[in-house]
Amino acid sequence: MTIPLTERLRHWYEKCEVHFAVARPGGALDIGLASRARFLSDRELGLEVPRLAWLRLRSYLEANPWVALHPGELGAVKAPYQLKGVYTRALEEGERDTVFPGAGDAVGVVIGLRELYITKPGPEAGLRVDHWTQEDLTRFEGELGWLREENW
Amino acid sequence: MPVPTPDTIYEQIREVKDGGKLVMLATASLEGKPNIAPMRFARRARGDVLVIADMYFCKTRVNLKENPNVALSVAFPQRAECPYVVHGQGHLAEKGSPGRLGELWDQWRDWGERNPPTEVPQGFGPPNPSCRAVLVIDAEDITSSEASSFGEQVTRT
Repeated sequence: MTIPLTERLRHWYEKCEVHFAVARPGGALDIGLASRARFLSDRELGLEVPRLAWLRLRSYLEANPWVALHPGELGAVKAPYQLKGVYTRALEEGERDTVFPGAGDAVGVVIGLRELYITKPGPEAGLRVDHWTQEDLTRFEGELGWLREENW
Repeated sequence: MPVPTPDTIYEQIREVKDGGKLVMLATASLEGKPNIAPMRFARRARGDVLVIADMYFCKTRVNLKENPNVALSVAFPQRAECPYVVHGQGHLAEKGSPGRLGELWDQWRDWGERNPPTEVPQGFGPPNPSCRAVLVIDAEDITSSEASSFGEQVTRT
C-alpha cells in the first residue's frame, strides 16, 4: 500500500522534528521526538531517534508496533497531517549514516506507513485520506489555501 | 540550569493570545493504537489539572471513552524551552457533567469565544471556535524529552 505523500506533506515532515506516540496494549502511552525524518519511499518513513529515547520506547514497539506521527515546530501549525504506521526495523549503521548524516549514536527507525489523517480543526478534523490519490490530496490542499506561497 | 518544577512546566503549556502555542495530545485505543494531534487551547486550570478545549476532537474523543491515558508535549513555538512529556488521565467535561467536571465546564465553556485563534493563518484554523467539551487532564507525572535525559522523571519540589 502506498500513501499519497504530496510535495507539501513531505516538505514539512522532513523540515521539522516529529512527535510520535506509542502505546502498549491496555492503553499506557508515551511521546517520543525524532530529531529528523526522511521518507525512504511512499510507504516508509525513517526517523532519527536519540539513543536514550529509543532504549526507553523500544519496549512499547515490541509489545505493539503501531506509531502515530505528527510534525512539530511550525509544522504543528502549517502541516496538519497525522501519519500512522507500524515499526518495521532499525536501520543498519551504514544505511543510517546515508539517510541521516551525522546521526552520531542516534538510531534510525523505519516506520511502515499505513494511514494518513487530516488534523486541521473543523469539518476536516480526523478525515482519513490515505485512500486518496496524490492528485486528490494536492487539490484538497489547494482548496484550503495551503499551497499559497505564505502557507508553505 | 534551575531544576524545573511542575509549576514552571505548566506555565509553558498556557495559551498565549496572538502568539499561538500548540501542544501535541496523544491518546490511544484500549488495544493500543495511538493517535496524536496538535491542540491550541491548552492551559493549567489548577494544581496538577490541565484543560484542553474540545473544538473538533474526533479519534481523541473515541479513545478517551475507552482509555483515559493521555500524554502531551509542547510542539510550538518553544519546544526547546519545554522539553517534557506530561502523562495523566483525561476526562471530558461537558454540558451536564456532575461535580468537578461540571465546574470546569462552566469555567472554560466559552474559551473559544474569549480567545479566538486570530493568529492562525487562514485555512488552518477552525471555522467556528466554540467548545464542544473540555478535556480535563489530571497530570500524574512529567518526564524529560531531552535526548540526553529522555524519560527521566521531573523532580517534584
